[in-house]
Amino acid sequence: MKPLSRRTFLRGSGVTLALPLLDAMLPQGRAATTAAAMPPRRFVAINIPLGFIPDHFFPQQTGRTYELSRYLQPGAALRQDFTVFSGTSHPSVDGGHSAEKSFLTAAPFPGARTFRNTISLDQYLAGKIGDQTRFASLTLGEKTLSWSANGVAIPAEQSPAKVFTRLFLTGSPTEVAARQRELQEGRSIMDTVLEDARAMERRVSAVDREKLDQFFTAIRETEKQLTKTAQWSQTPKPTVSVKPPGEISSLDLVGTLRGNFDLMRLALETDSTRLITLGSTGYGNVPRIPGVQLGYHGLSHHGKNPDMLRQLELIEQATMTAFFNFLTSLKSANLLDHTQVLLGSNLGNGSGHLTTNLPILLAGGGYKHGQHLAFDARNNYPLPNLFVSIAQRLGVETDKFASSTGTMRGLEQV
Amino acid sequence: MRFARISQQISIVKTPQLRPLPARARVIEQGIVPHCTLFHPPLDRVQSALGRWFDIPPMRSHIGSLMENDQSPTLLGLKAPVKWLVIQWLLIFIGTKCGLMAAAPLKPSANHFFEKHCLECHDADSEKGGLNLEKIDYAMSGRAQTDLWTRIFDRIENGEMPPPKQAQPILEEREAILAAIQPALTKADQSGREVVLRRLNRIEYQNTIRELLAVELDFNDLLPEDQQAGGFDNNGEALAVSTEQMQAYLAAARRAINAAIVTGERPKTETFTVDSIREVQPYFADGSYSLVDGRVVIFTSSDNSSYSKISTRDRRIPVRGRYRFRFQAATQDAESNLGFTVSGSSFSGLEATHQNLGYYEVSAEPKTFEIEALLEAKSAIQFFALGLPTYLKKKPGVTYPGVGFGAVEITGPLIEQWPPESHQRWFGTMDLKQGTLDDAERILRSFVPRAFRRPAAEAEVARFVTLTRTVLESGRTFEESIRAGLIGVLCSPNFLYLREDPLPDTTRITEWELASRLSYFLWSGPPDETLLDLAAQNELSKPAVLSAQVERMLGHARSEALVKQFTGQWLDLRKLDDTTPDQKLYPKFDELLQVSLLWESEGYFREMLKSDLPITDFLDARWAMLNQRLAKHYGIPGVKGMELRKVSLPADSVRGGVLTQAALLKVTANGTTTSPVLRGVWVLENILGQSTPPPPPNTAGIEPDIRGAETVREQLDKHRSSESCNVCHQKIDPPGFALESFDPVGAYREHYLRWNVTNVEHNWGGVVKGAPVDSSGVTSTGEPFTNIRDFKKWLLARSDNFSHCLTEKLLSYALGREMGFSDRAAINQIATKTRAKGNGLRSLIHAIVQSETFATR
Repeated sequence: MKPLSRRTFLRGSGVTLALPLLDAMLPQGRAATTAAAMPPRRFVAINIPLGFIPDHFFPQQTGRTYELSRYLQPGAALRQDFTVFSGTSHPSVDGGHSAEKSFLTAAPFPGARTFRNTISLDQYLAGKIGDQTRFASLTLGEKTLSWSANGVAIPAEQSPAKVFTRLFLTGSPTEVAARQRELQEGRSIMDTVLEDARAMERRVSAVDREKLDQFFTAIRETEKQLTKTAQWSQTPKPTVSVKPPGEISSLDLVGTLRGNFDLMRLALETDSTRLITLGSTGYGNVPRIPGVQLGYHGLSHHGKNPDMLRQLELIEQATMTAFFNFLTSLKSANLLDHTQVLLGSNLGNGSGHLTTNLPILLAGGGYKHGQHLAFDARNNYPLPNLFVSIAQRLGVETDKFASSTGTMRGLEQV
Repeated sequence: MRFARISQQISIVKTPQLRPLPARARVIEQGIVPHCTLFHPPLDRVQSALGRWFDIPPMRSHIGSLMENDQSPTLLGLKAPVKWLVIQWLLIFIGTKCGLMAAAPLKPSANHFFEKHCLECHDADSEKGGLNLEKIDYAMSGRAQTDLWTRIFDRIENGEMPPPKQAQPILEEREAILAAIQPALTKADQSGREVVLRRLNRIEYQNTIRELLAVELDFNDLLPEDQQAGGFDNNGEALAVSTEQMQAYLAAARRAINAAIVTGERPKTETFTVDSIREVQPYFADGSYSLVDGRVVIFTSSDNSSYSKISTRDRRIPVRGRYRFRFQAATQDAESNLGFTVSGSSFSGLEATHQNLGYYEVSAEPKTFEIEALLEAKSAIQFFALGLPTYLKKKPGVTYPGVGFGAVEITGPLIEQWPPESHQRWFGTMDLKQGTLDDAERILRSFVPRAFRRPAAEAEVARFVTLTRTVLESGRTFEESIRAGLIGVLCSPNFLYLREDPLPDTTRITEWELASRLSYFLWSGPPDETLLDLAAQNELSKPAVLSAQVERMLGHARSEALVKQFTGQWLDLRKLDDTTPDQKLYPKFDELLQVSLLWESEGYFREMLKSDLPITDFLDARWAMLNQRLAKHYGIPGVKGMELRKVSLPADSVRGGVLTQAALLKVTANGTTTSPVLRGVWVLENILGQSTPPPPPNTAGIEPDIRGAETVREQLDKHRSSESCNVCHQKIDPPGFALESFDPVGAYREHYLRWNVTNVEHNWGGVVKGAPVDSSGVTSTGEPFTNIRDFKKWLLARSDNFSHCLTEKLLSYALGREMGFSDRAAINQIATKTRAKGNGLRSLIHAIVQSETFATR
């Protein structure tokens, strides 16, 4: 990994961080020793649940010579680092806002009463490559994008400050020792609970046994997790001389995005994790953006009212700008070529609650980018195919994810 | 608009006349053996048919007459209600017999019927409405299939399919197909309707820890949000466990036990006084704050803000604990009373947390307020005035209303006993430093059964004693070891799940299991000692005891959980703050109104429950639960003060019932506009109990376009002229139209409002009156209505559908599972029983608890 210049770093790091001094900026040390090995491959998924005004997101032309659409303008310098997709969606995923639950799982009919979710892409990948880092994955945002194999929501961490503590703050020696004891105790507790559950299993009905099976899996996985954490706790956490982020008001949409993006970059840079998801951030509120007076959610139901469209555009533009700044910061940190960043939405059109023609963009990760891959707007191309491509790019050998039919057509690895 | 009217008139003509009478009604008229008709909600039709046959008036007036003077007609010498029961029994009996007869040939008869009447649209090629009957599963395996078959059954039974335009099956055909589906579907559905092993949800977990350990803790930051199924988050099927969840349970148990065990010196209770003068002093000069009689006066409100300059920030509380805050407050130059709210804010960690400590009313006469709260270390309380302008530029010589807050006297931590109850309950006064394994065993022997809500087997206790010993033998202290043992108990599936074991000879649950069902239903928490004692004596399942316990439990403060959790989900009150109303169009929507909306809807349910008012009051009533702010919002005079109270409504009021409560009208809108479709779907699903399938695949939803002359209504009318859309929209749209008279914050409106931009560059403009609201329509049964008052009358006439719907929801909540086709008979029985006792909400709860379903697996 090339040492980072402090200046480059500051440019991308936003306002919540002051005078950082990272491992990655040092010419030697842990970061440098791993540089010889294959750089780790990573994946980041970001969902903007209210979507984007389609006309401003999708370019008019297709292929490599397309003209940047309004929302892609702030990413002009990164043009060769991303591909924009149109005419894709998850087959049979409908249900308006409920589709948020299926953004990374592609589980059909999320609005149905009988809906049960399935594993999300990041968690599937965490099962494959998660053991290589201190944290198998990070789930950020207000609403989770991450779902376990049996369709349980993985709680999303809303506060960048709290995640920062988990990632970088070690605590006093007494605290570390206490934590070690806790982990050891935790394993004894899990052993006992397992026994208790076994005794219970003999008595319950067939339906209940299914439920209890989930419990067994959870206990065994927890034991493994505790062992892993205990091992990791022997290794000091990466030191970052960055001030922990403060409290960010939920009304500050851009600040919240930026706070999360900064943290995500730090997490990737220190190789604390290789998989991150960022779900929705504050869409019930009136975001503090000059010129915006209405609630974000309300604005998305603009009914083509020009004033509302104008305000919505301000929010969406601010979101895209923050996103491209994030990409720039990854590029400056030499991370982008090995980090696949997926930006998209579960809604193709917020105003009509449509779940087809999703706005999708994939950046970095080592593809021949720089194009607009357009598919049939009436008969959409399956988006899970992109997920298969992403998994394969991470070195995971699979040719299927959810309702996929292959890999993403037209997307080639470098 | 003209187009709309015509199409509605047509539907008036066609609906009652062209549609064939419901099958069972004809059957009864002809004296043919009916199929199992009572398994389906629209009782009114059966009743009217029965009415014609036996010459009985419809159910409603019929029960009413019994209540008033009991001059109901008699049949076979029986009083009407008894007669009604006889008829029901007769029908169930005959129904069962015919069910048995028709059980065998489902596939041939269904095949034949589908071929003749359905496949033209619902074959593999057309797949209209997404339904392909060629690939339907006759084994009905799985929930998706039973749901599909239920829909098919209902559509055929209600005469909705085949659509009226098409050739109609003759009576016998309809009969035959329904009789063929009914038993197979009941059987298929039943196999999936067991109460599954259900883990505690987040709220139940929190309450259970509180009752077990006597600690007040919040686990929202640790435990993931629970998923809902069938509308409730206590549904066993939806409550899965993942690795993350298990780790969270481990952390939560640790937090709970650590908080419960309290060693060390008793903290000193101190009293000190703090004011905010230092912080506001710089603002005295420009007049944004002033000092009157030692009170700091503020002239602005900042709704939902988390920061106020008037606080006790200058001296925060030293340790976590319960504190008392005393202060004086008074209005300043205000014409009437004002309100304020207090927030307890912790600044100890990396991020601040805020806890609302209540809303208060304040007058010109200085009054001393006292607030007690459990707060984290380094917390302070902050004051926020309500109902004042959010921005103020003071002009000299003018007085402005404000609220003044005096210095705050803080006393705490308040300690009733030391060590606290949480510690003494399980450890008594023992010295933990001297503890031995024997002590651990003694503690676990009493703790385990209480945590498991039933007696514990020897082996179960032994397991946790062993755990404690393992830790003790690894060199840890007694305190550390017993902690581990107790944490283990709280991670056990016996604690985390509401365990109900199958018994060999019966489907009934045990007394202990009944105690838990009852307490998690009414309290969202564990059974208390009284319930456990009754279970131990095998007394609880006796109807009279059960009834007395329900009364006791509903009288207890913990029953507030039922009010909050049930209304939070049935009425969607949890979503109340999901949207922020457009401040330009609805500038009067402020924080006090926002909280009052919730108070009103919860208060309404609470009042109905307390006074056992008839559940038809949910549909319409001549009373409401209001405070001054709500009354102002609704234009009802004479209500003063912040406190919620029962108020009689003027005769011509559009309010009354839940539908016209502002909370409901807000959650069914998006903050800016209203959609008749969303509101209509809400009414169908939550009031009439009809599920509305999502639009079929490949149907583009309409993209709202409010620029043109076309109103949402005109768009929808077009929509309804298409046969396949109309099937659902003829039911969805009318309630939505009736509710168009209410804006997104629930205020009554005769015109839509529009923001008119006058200066594009600066986005200046003003609110202008838009098109007039048209709240008329034609109900799905063909009756025209002009406004919400008419529509409520129509709903009241369908109160049986509503009581079926509410019963289903309450039963679903009570059992933690979704109700299905096979539960219809039980639901009808409960609803009928309740109706016979005056139809009160409390009576309904009693009927549910006394029902067979409540006591079976």
